[in-house]
Amino acid sequence: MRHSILERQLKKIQRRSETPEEFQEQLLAAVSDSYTNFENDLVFRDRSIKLMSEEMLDLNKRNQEKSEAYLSAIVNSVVDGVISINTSGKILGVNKSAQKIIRKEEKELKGTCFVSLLSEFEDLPQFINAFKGSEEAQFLVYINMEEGERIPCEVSVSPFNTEDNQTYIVIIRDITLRKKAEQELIDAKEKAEEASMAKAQFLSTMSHEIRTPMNAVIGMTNLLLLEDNLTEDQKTYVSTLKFSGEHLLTLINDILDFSKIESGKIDFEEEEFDLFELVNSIKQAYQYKADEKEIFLKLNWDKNMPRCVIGDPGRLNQILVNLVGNSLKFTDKGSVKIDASVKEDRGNHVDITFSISDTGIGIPPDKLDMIFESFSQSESYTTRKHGGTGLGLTITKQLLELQKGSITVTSEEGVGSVFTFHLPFKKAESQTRTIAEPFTATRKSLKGTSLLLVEDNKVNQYVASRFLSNWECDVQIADDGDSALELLKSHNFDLILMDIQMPVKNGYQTTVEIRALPEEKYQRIPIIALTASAVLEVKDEAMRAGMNDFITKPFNPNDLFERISKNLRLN
Amino acid sequence: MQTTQLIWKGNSWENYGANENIDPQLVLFFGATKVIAQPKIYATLREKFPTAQILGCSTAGEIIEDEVLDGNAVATAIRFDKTTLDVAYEFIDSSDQSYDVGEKLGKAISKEGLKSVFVLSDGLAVNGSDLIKGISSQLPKEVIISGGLSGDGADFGRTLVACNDYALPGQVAVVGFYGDHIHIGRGSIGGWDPFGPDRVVTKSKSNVLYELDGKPALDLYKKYLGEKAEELPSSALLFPLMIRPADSQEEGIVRTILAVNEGDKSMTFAGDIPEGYMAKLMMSNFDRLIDGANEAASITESQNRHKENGESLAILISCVGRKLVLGHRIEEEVETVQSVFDKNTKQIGFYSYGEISSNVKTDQCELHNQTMTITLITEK
Repeated sequence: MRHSILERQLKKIQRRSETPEEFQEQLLAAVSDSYTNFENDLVFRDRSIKLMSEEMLDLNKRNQEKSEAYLSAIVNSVVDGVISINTSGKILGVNKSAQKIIRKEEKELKGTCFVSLLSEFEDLPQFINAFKGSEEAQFLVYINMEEGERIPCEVSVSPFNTEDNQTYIVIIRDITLRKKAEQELIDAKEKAEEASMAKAQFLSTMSHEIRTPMNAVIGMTNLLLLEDNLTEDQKTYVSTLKFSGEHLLTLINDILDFSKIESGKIDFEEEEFDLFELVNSIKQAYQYKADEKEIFLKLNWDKNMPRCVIGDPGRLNQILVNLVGNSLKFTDKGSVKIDASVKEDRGNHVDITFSISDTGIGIPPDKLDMIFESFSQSESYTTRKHGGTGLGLTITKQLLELQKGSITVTSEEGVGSVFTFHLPFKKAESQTRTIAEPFTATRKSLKGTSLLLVEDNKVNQYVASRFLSNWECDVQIADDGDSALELLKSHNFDLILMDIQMPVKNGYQTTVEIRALPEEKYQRIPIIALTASAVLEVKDEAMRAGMNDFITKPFNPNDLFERISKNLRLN
Repeated sequence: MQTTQLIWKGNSWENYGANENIDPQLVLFFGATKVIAQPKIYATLREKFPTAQILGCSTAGEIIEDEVLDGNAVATAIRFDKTTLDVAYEFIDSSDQSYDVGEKLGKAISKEGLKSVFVLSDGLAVNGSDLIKGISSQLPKEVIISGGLSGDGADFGRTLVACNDYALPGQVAVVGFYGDHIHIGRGSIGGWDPFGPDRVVTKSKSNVLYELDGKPALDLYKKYLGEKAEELPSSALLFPLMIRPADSQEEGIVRTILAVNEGDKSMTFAGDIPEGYMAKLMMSNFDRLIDGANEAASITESQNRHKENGESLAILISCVGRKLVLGHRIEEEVETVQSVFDKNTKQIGFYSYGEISSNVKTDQCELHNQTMTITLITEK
């Protein structure tokens, strides 16, 4: 079958040509023309394909460049540093932010080991494991700079695998400013704490400074009361002086306690003590006052109550004194009752309920909620009328709560108030306590006892030595630690009363040196610390230094007497 | 309906094949510019058919039955049994008047019973897209519009249109078909394939394209044409341009080139090239183009028509660009079209600078380029 073009050419040429020669010539020309056309067409087509391929290649390249430029523009515009590294940790590329954070040009960084920039890591696996181990999406590293500077950075690492190779993308964020802000906060907190410490220190110092003259005032008043030849009027004056001095001391103690609680600086002792004796002695101490006001003061001791417990007797004493004192203060007729019973017995522990009820003026219902708040008495006039800092109940509540106890109050105006508090104690192993031999108060005497009083303050020397002389003691006085050590060489003392705060050589140091003396008696001789500081640490420190007991100034003469005689007996 | 085919024999019109002489209402003639520019072309037709509406245009090649001629003229005389006609024409000076001219023509033609409008337009001074929009704006939607832009061989020099007068440049003529008995089938297929990268139309004005991707469009064509650049503007027909809106994923429309301007390196196309559109070069080969022509015929044939009363007339308007590619095989596309239709269908037509056809699916009339566009007239 002939090609359609040839067929058509034949037909056309046949129509036009008149001779066979003409036909042949025209046919050949037409066929040749077809070949040429076909060839030209092929060439043209090839050319077009080649041009198109070139264009497509070029376009492809441009698109690639464009998308690369786009990507790189994105990467360079982010604030975080972006670093790509290979699997052996070599840096492949960094963005502008990374160069800024690390403070090096990309050409310096390329090819170097990324991990070598960091302070804490040896190699890449260690770094990556550390990152995987951290819970956070970022973790903190430090980038080493010149001259030992370290830049804190948050980093995250993610594997980034392309067709050709495996890489990691490390994102770093400079957190110097945040760290600085954190540090400023820490500094500010420390400063605040320092200020608070200074405040506490100031209070402690002030309380000591105030106690020292108070010691003298109360001490002298006590001495005056011992005088036989006072007129009734004079006795009243001196009694008032004593009452006021003691009141002032209570106020100072309240403020000191309050500040200690506020600054969280309060500690509680854990010592075995006779609970009954403590409560009963408070009752006895207030008996005089109750009798004076013709008020019935009663202690109900439940039969299940343990005799001895482990806790802080001083603080319990403080709480009870406050509550019983308050009740007596606000009651003009009727009674004040102290009830002690077991709330819950839990084997080694026992919860005890104390309840102090009175038939006093009571507390208005709208003031009941505020009664334990700082600086509020039920009415501001009660402060004026009844005295006190208004801190007593606040301190009581805080002291109880700090020992896992609690306090509640019910009251009816004109009928009376009931303060009920619970306090947990550890039970003492032995409930049969050897009670200190009752002190025969008829005539106090320490006759034949040789005492050394180490005290720098002249007034205190005088007060103490007057009491001691009254009790028929033989008293030697040393003004400071060195004189005490000197006196010890030439005298045999039965007991030493040691002031803590002394210039040159304080009481602790002096005690340590006494205990270090070669002869055996110096290890045994009782040393009782005398201090105006009521802070518990002072007591601990005194015990550590080798002292046997501890009395705060201004001292109660009875207390001093008992401590001395107790320590003499023990020795 | 009855037709008589005629061919110009230098001095007179002669019957083409065995044709009876009839008394036609419509005569269409197509011929090379230099041929139909002769007053005797029209004068002799008018003498032959004194009462007929005579319309014609210049060409880039003439089609009669299965033959493609160059530098000649052909005509067909149509006798309708029941269909009536109306004609209108307008002159145009520059392409920016295209819409207005179309609107005037649409207004001028009677609407009563109008079924279809056949358009013959100047091929160089007209923006075909705008012209069609203008005509359509005045016609009911269901009226089928078809036709073509006149050609001037591969010269792009002067195109002529005749409407009951001598053929003249800068003219647009329309003939309307009326009544319930006329049926118009149509089909339009290219057979070109886009190739190479998408290019953005970065600078253009109406149908004048200046830049693609920020570079002169003419430079791109010259690069691809190589030696053939000397044959511009006609050689640009080897690479028609397909354009589409940037956000569209559909196949675009094809634009054919009308002129180039070496001064500002611009190219003028037969239709709009809006800025921001995506453009792609196209190319084809013999087989694809011939297959396209066959498909256009099949679509046309498939439309329901009534063959009871004798003859049908297929008016073939094909793009000059196809003629450039097909060369010696140009007649194959005419043959393949003829093979689809029955023996009673006569073929007449021309190679044009643009084809006009309603979309079969949407009835939206569009300007096409580089296609074989067929209008099949039947009367029942």
